[in-house]
Amino acid sequence: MYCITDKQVDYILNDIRRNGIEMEDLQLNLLDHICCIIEQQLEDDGDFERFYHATVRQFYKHELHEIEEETINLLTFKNFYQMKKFMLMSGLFSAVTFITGSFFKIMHWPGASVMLVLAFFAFSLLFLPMVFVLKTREMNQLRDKWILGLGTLAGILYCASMLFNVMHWPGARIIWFITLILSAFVVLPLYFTAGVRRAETRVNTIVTSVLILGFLGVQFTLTAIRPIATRGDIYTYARNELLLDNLSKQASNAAVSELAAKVNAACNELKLSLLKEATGDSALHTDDHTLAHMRQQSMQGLFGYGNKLALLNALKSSVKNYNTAVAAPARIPVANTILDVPVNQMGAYSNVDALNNIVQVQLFLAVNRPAAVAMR
Amino acid sequence: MIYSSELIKGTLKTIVLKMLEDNRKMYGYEITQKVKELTKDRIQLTEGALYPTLHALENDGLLTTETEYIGKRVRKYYSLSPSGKGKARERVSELADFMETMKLLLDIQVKPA
Repeated sequence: MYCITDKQVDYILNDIRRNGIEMEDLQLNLLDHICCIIEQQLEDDGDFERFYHATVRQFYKHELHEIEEETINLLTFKNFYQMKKFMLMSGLFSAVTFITGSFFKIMHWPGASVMLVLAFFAFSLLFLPMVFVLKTREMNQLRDKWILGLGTLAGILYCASMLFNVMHWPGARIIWFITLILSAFVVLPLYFTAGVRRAETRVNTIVTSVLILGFLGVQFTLTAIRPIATRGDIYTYARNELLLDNLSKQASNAAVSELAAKVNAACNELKLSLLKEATGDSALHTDDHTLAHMRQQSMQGLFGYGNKLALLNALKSSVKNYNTAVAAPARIPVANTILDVPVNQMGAYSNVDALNNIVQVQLFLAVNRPAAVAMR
Repeated sequence: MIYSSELIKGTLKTIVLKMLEDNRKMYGYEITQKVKELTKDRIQLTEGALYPTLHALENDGLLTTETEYIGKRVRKYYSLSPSGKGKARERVSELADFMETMKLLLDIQVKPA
């Protein structure tokens, strides 16, 4: 029986460590195992180093740290199943909460917002990241992991934009456009080119890419025409404008009060700004051709309200000044118009809504012209 | 004849649990030697398979360990925990059942003893 010296024990331990065995437990187990083999099989005057290397070579196929990798694999295998279960649970939870929350929202029942926020967090911060972690474990190529990572990010952003939209939080549109650009110009091309090269994934990749492209297209169209254009609103505005024109022609030439004139001027300025945005032409047209080309869009553009907010504020203050100067029946009613809503809810109003509100302010002034003249 | 590693892989946990059931406490090298001896060299457990399995069984709470110092090195003895004892019996009877099924499935004629 060979007698191993302390120095040789250190030599073996160092060699095991150098070859990538980092778990202490495993180091000690292997050390003892190797020592046992050497003690049992090496002759008293045998060559220690040569025998050691020959022995340890039988422990692995390519490298010694395979043993550690295998150990870690076995230790996390149980975890893997728990994670998978948790992933499915969180997915189910968010789907159910999302549907219930949406239904509550439509019915205007309390608790809808809480449920939608919960569903969002469960879906985008538990379910999607877990899908990413579990799926990347099955992937060998770094490229695939990147594609899945970016796809997960796009999914999270998509959820965030929907949540921001439903909750009327600012920034929903910017998040939404980032999502669209990321999905359409980064994730989809990467996914497509990676998948279409491999014969076994080609058909699946093409089908999935077409589906994603279709989905993105539909979503993009929905964003572009949101809120849904109703020609009726546009024609109502046109008739209001004609009515105002008619009333103005019948009116006396007597000058109105300065306050009323200011309101009128502020109305015209905001109106022209909105019309320029909607038709590309700042002149006031009420003919069918121009109206047919008018785009109905949210007051809130992609990058906020632009100069509309300043013009609206000018109108608001002029109306306020007018209303404080006149008696109750002659006051311009502003309830439920864009003159009344807080800025953060104005995104729910369209440009046509705004135009109608403004022209009605002018109509009100025109009808009450005698009062406005009398104020002088 | 030495069996293929695929065959050993599926039964390794059962073999380790059974060894420990019969021998109270053992260390890694001892397990490989015992298996080799009992099977007349036909099953030789590899270190690359044995130690990961031992660590996994320990992590599952089926094994308890105690350590012993031998000069500068540490020897880790494994023995069955109470739940490991139950598991050992369960795995052995499962494998016996499996072997019966395989005999039927593969139409193996058992040689009379």
